[in-house]
Amino acid sequence: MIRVSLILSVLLLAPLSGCLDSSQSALESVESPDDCVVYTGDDDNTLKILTYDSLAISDEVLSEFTNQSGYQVELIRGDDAGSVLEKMMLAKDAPQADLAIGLDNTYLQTALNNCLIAPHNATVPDLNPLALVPYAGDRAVPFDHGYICLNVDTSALEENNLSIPTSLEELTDEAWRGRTAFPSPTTSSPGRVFMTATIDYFEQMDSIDAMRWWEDMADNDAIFTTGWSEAYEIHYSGGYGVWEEGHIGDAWLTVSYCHSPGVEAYFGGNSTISKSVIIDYASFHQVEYAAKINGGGDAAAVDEFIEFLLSEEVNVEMPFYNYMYPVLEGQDLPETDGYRYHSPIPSTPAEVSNERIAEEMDDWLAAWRTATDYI
Amino acid sequence: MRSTVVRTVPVVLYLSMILLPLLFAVDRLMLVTGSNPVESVFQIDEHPFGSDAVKFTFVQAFLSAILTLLIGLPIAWWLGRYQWKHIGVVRAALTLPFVTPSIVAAMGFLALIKNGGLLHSIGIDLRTETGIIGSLSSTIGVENSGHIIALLVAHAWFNLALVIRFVEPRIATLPPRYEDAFRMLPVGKTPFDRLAKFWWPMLKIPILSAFTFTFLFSFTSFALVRWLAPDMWTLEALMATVGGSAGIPGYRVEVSRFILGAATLQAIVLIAALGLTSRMQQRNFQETEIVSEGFSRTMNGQPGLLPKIGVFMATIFALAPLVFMALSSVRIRNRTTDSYRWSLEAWEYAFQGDLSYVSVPEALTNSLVYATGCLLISCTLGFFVAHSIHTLEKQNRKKLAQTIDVLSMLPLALSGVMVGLGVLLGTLKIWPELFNFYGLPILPHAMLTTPFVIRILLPAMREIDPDYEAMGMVLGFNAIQRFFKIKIPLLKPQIVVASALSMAFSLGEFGASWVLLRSGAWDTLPVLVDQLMSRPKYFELVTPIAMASATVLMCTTFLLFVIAERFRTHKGGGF
Repeated sequence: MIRVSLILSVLLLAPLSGCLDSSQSALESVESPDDCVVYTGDDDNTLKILTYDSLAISDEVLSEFTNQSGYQVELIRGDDAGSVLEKMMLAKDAPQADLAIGLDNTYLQTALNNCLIAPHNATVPDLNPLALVPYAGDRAVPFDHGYICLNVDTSALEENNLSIPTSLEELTDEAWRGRTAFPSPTTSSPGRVFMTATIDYFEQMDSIDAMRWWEDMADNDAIFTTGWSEAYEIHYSGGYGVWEEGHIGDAWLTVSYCHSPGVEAYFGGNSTISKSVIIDYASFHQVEYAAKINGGGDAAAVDEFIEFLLSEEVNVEMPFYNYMYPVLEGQDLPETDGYRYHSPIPSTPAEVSNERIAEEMDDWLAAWRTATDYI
Repeated sequence: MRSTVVRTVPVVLYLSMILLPLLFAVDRLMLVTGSNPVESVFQIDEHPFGSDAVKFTFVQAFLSAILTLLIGLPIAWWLGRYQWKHIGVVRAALTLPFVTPSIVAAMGFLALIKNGGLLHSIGIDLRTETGIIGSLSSTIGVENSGHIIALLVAHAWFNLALVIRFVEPRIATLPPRYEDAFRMLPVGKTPFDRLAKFWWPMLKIPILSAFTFTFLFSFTSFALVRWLAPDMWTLEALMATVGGSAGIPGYRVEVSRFILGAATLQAIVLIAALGLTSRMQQRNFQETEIVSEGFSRTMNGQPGLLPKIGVFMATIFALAPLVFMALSSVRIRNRTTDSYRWSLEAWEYAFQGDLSYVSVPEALTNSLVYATGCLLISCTLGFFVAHSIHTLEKQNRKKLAQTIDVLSMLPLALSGVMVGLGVLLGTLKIWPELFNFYGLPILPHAMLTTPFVIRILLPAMREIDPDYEAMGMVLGFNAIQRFFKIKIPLLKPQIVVASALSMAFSLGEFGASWVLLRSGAWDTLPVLVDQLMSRPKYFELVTPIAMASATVLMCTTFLLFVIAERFRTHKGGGF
């Protein structure tokens, strides 16, 4: 009987698995997001938000939204911004959330091209015009932003008689051998953003190809990591990582936000040894978006939450909760404990359009992996 | 007929539970890649780290298993031979590492080896590899040797319980007259002769079982590799890192191909290892009679100084990383000065649930609800699957019994990524609404813990004297009465141990849930710890809050094990 059952199980399960995925279509790109068919899911009075692990909106804030709107909120956390996009792709046929929070401008176009997000009807207040440069349509609303750039440990540079680099090419010098740490663009959002900046930097310099520089960096024993945390906490000697378990501190330079030294100073009593490196075209303006998921439900709740996220009382808290700039017009980082003072804004960040990023990112990533022999 | 149905339904249910997600995952990956699993194995080296990961996975798993045996065997010997006070607490302490969430274990070890940590302060710098370790690296020419040593020791720490749990019961329950008789023979005169010709044949099965399982768990290690050897890759670490991109048609196909190939290779190796173990254990149960461990220990008396020191050191070894981790929850860095302070602030934050995550009481409640659900499913299914295997063995249908036995261990051969991906894809296809069901995480938990329940109950069922069953029939008991009045009472200690173990595993389970979409309201303690550890830690309380949460998890697990130890009796080995 058991033998028969075993055979029956296999016979039943094998064809089942074969037919289950036959309906799964490959991701289809459209010429314009306007060509996408918009689906609507069921309303269940619970707003489900897909976001990244480190999004920090306090319970009090979420409770306030529930009190104001009557909608319950559930946060579904992925790993990082890339993970948010991937989970949306994976669950495209049966979306599990109504609102995505955290896609940035290097991922947004892919989401748009694949019809993963739908237009919202939220009333959007006046936003910082800079935050609307990458995208100003009705399918995604910026809720915070910041600039990605290189950070250096000024103390280590001083001890080793090095000056703050003024070009990326300097980092291939012998003095920097094994002293730089970069999160992989394949697995880290800041890594992806910085690699995009290097594409523009080397095009603007009209010197070598960006991937040649990455190859040179790999030859100069640059440390590559899968995530920002590993690069900043474990390897970078100038940040809070020195206090953390597992710190190695072998890198004097890493990729982070231009305002990371400001956050360090804010939590360190206006004191930090970390400093942003402002090099023309070697930084990138990252904007993070809230977007209605195509096929998700509770459209009214989505709109209300977007408005709530952009309300002054919530958005001005972004520097404290999410360590990013607010997007509201006229709002900035706080001056407290050197937060603003240690957060320079690059005058000439890299400029790469969302469309170009979506079109060429796969090729860049493949070339980057070949150049660095990393994942 | 009715008993056949009782035996068959759980087997079919359980096999469906573990095979369906696997089929979904494999099928989706095949659809995405256009390759079959075998082809994909030969494409692993197309990944930049593929070949190195395969080599390192095998080498570190082998070395970890050897090191674990070297540390664990003397401890198992001493524990099994002598009468110990509070042996239940000692065993629980030595078992605690095995059920500690790996991310917690990693944090504990990092606290030990960090700059200024205990090992660093005595000149052993495993992290930045200066001093002795730096010299060692230069001498042997192995890069990152400090990291590799830390990883091997951590794997030995993690798996120490396996050696003790497999080997100690055999030593403790072997009739002393066997050894006494062997001493009389010319061939058993010297300790070396007795070791080679008596103890090795007696213990080789549990030792090889412990070796196999240690190899298996080191083979699939992820968090310890990620944190302790950040520049090295195992297959599981690579799969977990890039796995989020897998299974999406038309998107990063090379990742899906790598996942399919690596998971297949992993499954082949692990199924072979598990098949071997199952075969060895089946042969073993026929070979020897056993006595109560109390009787055996009484014959050998109290431990001497060396065993006392050895067991004490092992207990320190088992608890040190966890103690250092607990200390990290109350040792807070000062924001503005180069110093630390002692404070319970992190515990207050943890219990209030600030930083936008659930509070420890909420996460603990979720963890306990899932653990209870997991217990009910895994113990019920595990009991009846073990019962079916045992019945087939009694009917001399050994090949079929062994097939089900090996299949039942299949979840142990699957990576967390594959289990998580399978449940995710399966749920999306069959019943998407299930994602809104609070109890969903119980499914992967039960998938992963049922094999352990089977491994605990099956040897115990084999040890039950068939005369009890015959006696019940003579007394006129029907099958149900015999089940409740004879079998269940006889198996009660093993059922309690299996329940505690399955709850403990569920409490610490992280890998599969990590891949699944998860709702914040469902966060368990390990997920909470990971979320906190994933946050930027500018705020000085983030890590201590994570450590406080991990300490609560550790204490809950420890409590479960102390309870289990009160019921545990040794009957012929097994976990």
